[in-house]
Amino acid sequence: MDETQVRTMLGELADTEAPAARIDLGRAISRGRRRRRWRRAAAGGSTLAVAAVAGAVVTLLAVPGPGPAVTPNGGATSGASSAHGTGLVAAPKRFDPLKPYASFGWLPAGYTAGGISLQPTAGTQSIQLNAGAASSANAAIFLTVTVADACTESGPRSLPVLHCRYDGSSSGPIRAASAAPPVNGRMAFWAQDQAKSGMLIWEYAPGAWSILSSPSMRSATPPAGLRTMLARVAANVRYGDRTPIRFPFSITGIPAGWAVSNTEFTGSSGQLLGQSLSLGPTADPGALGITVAPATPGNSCAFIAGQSQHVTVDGVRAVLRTLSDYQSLCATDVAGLQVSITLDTTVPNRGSPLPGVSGLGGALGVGRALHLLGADPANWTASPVKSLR
Amino acid sequence: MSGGQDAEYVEYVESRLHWLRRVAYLLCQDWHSADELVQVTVTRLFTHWPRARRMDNVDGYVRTILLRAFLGERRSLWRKRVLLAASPPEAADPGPDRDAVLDVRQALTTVPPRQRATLVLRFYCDLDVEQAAAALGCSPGTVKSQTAKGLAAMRRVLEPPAAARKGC
Repeated sequence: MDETQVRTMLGELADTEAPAARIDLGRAISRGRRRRRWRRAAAGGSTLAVAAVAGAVVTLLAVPGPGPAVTPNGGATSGASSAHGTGLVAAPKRFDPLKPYASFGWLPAGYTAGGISLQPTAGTQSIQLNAGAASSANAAIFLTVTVADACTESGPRSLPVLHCRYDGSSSGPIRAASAAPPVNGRMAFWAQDQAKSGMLIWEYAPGAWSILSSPSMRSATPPAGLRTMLARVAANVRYGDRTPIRFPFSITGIPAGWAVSNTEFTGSSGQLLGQSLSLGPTADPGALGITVAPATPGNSCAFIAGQSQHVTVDGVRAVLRTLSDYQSLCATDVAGLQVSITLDTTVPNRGSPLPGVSGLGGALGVGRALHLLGADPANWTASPVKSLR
Repeated sequence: MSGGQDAEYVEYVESRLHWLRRVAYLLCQDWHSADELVQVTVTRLFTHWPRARRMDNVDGYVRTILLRAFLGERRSLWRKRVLLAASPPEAADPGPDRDAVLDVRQALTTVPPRQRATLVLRFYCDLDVEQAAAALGCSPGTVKSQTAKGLAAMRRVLEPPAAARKGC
């Protein structure tokens, strides 16, 4: 099943005959008007009143959305160090998936910092940060930070061509088109990749690069306003951040030799709230995936006849799915949370048993070893994985 | 908002309703929930219409509203409305190629919501990786990994494991 087939299948599914629409535009307009009036009143009312109303709709887990826009002097965290003024002496060889290394130090008004993903690759890693604004579908900023030696250079040093492995595959050549003002004293360039997408690249430490892009940047020569904005974002990126991600769960009994390979979380640099992590042995770094998030309306656990069965785990109803090489456990409402566990039981493309997997007891065993920590982030843990010795 | 803006809003939503319902249906997997999601989306669009109507890409803005409502940014509000309006989900009429369509629908139900949203953006809305990342509020790398995971989840249903691995 390739991507073309998926396009066709989704198109056919979307074209199935629909029942009459139940959309009520009159209701949308009257409720929209009320909301606008409320917003105006809230904007002019007391802060306490607004906070009280907002608090009424916070869900159990209370995972906040993307954090507030950070400013040059705001959002700093303990242990974070700014590269402002000077380049770093050395970049790390690896990033810790549980402690993101970089964060935005400044974003334009209206932008908020989103999550960070870490991309384990063969022999190297990168982290990707994102930020966006509600004002436009294209109002987004992406920052990729590589470990040392993730990119090789060719061409003249004054206008290099980078070949990076930073998201699990080769980036293809990133060609510098013109020099940009140095970022914290380090050389920087306006560049574009094979798809002609523009980007600002700079060597934030010897042999280690940062790559800043935006869907709005369709060439290596962006408009002056966009150039100024991106240069300011670049100049304020903070490196060396050691703020830990805190997770609403912990898991015990993880086989020795398995390591966390990827994390997803929300929040700004001040408080990073984890939602999912992947871990596994070298043969399959993402063999076990655990996601704990607020229950999503309308979501249900898929039940596939012949593969799925209803089970009860510590009093919680769940759906266990068992295939020859894969298991999953799904529960949609555990005190307002949904839990999803996925587990590869064999080495991908080889079919041999995954090292260490037998001790887990399958997805059901992982479910039994999963400890939920409640709604209050104050009770969450920065050490979610307890391995066997 | 002026009467003229109201009329503009109604004209815009009516012209996009078919598209919005389709996208919502792919995300929600039943028409009842899809219509609830669209109702929340167009309500929120009305709230922001004075600003939204001036945007270069109103469709992209509305799509982002819909996605974020689906993914829970307004989870409590939407959930409350869904519960208030709860009635048994109705089965869609998949048309003549019923079995194949039901298979795809069942496969899509096995894909977690965020991965499902990624697949819909990439393969139904035809967004590139960066555009999908902007709509979802995540990094391009996450879009790539969510796409791969979502496709793998669909293959587990649509391709028999033995055939997928052994090529028979």
